[in-house]
Amino acid sequence: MNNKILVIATGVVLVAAFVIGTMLYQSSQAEQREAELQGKSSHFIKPNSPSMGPEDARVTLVEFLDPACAACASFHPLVKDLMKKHEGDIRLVVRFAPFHTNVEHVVMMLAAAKEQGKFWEALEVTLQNQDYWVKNHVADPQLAWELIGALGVEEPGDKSALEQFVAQENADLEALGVTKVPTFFVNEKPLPKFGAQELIGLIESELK
Amino acid sequence: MNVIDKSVWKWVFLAWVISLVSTLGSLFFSEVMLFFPCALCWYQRIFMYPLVVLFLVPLFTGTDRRMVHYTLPMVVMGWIFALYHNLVLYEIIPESAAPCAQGIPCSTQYINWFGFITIPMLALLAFSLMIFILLAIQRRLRS
Repeated sequence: MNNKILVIATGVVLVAAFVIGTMLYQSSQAEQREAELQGKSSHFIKPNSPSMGPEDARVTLVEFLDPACAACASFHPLVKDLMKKHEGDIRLVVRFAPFHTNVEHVVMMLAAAKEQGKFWEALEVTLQNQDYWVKNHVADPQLAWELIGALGVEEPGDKSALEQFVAQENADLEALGVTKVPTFFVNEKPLPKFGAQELIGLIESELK
Repeated sequence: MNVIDKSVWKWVFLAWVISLVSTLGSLFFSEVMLFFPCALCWYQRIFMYPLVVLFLVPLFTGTDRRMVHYTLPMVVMGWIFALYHNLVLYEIIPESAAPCAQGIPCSTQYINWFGFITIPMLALLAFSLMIFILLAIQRRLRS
């Protein structure tokens, strides 16, 4: 009888140590992350970053996304809902993390769409039709271009500015240590943990 | 009777604690610290995780005198994979000959405490301890 209690108690203690260890580790990671981001303000937004909402909004939401990433596409409606719910209070800035193979060409097309005033439609159509132009995690720029071109976006002859845009995005990714997409920053603060509730919670606490 | 006595029970309990600590530890590395497990790590996990349950049964029922017959083969299999993994890590066996060329290479070192404690080393230590414990249990059960 005593033996069984010893076994149960040991199991409970070890599992509790695991849970407490997890919480301690995650909070120390979050602190470290915030410290890393100190003094990196210039990397969050660039003058040519696509942005929506008033510049002096109380909350600036910076989203790093990869147009070929499924999680980014499934988070997009939530971001749009939040923008609608807190209209005028949030400024959304989209940055790119071209992690998938060949997706940098799609980012260049989106940058071209931005120059021609059609960024948000182009982003919408690329995210919504991801299955069409992303095959086995590899982007097919030709197919993506079909979609974006259909919106009336012209392919620029000189692509050096677009290439520079991709280079700028990559440099900021590295500076901010973004390794997963989507990555959100709310007023330059990282989410405590990745998740929809965490994003909503952080935005609402910044709006208070 | 099929009952195991107190001196044996203690050893089974120790083996169970080792398997549980190893299981929780490996889950901490992969799920909390987000170290992605390589192929060889998975093979060792396959032989480590069920031991938590297999040792628990005789601990609770106190009756299985044949427990070593089915737990020792599991532990030895895990030990072989752990040994192989250590040989890959210390470059005694080249990585190209290892069955894990794709994904995370098994020669990736995630932790290195005090210059020699790595995750595969901890696994080898755990499996080795369990082999000694099970052999000790078997000797006591026979006598």
